[in-house]
Amino acid sequence: MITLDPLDNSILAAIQDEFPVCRRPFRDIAGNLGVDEKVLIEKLHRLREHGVIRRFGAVFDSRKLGYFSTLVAVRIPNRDDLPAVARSVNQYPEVTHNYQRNDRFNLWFTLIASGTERIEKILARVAALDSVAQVQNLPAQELYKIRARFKPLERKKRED
Amino acid sequence: MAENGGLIFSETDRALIRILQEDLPLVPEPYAEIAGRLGMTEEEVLARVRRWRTQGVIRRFGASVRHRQMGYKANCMVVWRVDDPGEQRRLGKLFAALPQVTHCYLRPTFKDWPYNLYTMIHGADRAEIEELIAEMSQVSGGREYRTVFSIKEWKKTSMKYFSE
Repeated sequence: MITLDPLDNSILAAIQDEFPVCRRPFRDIAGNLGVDEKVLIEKLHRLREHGVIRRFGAVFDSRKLGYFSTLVAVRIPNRDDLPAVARSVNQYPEVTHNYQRNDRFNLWFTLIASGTERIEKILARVAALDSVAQVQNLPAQELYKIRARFKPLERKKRED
Repeated sequence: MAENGGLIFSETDRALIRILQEDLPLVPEPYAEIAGRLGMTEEEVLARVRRWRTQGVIRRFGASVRHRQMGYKANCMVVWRVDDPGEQRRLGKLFAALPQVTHCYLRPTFKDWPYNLYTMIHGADRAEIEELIAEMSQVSGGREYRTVFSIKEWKKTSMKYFSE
């Protein structure tokens, strides 16, 4: 884990917002931050290498590209079976997020596929696993907020 | 849900989208570099990116940070029971306006699960999350809810479109 300096925090705040679409986008952002374009690019390399920036670029709207997305809740009664189910779910490239949660429904994953048939097929395969008791398909009916944006937290020291 | 409004993507569009799903090259002229790889001009690439942003095909353009590394140690999914359709929208928008709420969706209920308004919240620690949930509960007028904490992240990736 790297320590973020004030400039890192300003950069992270600036580039989570709409990134300029022009010939020299880094020069524009650097100008706003009052630093050199070269310095900004070096900082971004470092933030990305250390994994602070997970991704940098365009985020597409799956629906506009003609894809279907959903959230799936899975109930695995015996906790010991969960890792095997989680790994089985992970094998599908269409599964983008997969979390173990402290609920009766203890595995939750998101799925993006080019058709509903493909979603049905994956869900049927998960439901067919011996240790799986229940699979719920929960496609969104309304989206009120879809954008995750994180401001750097500065007030607390981190131990790890 | 798939309602893409009749948008059509040519082979060139798809090739560009495949590249744009990777990280933007960290060079002074990133769009020129992408154009070079595809045998397009920089202007052609810029024009498409601008159009897709206007059309909402590109939902967001910028950095996705690893929130745990930014000091956000706790996240929680809170699901709310909101039976009245008018209330679903009103409350959905109220929750969505909170900065700690990163996602807010309406989803179907099912047997023994009456919760339909899904909120994903992030905070520095569990105490902060619990404080926020108490606040949201008040905003909701004391509605029934359920908190579902994540124990382990088994997978977190970005979707690769048009890769098949």
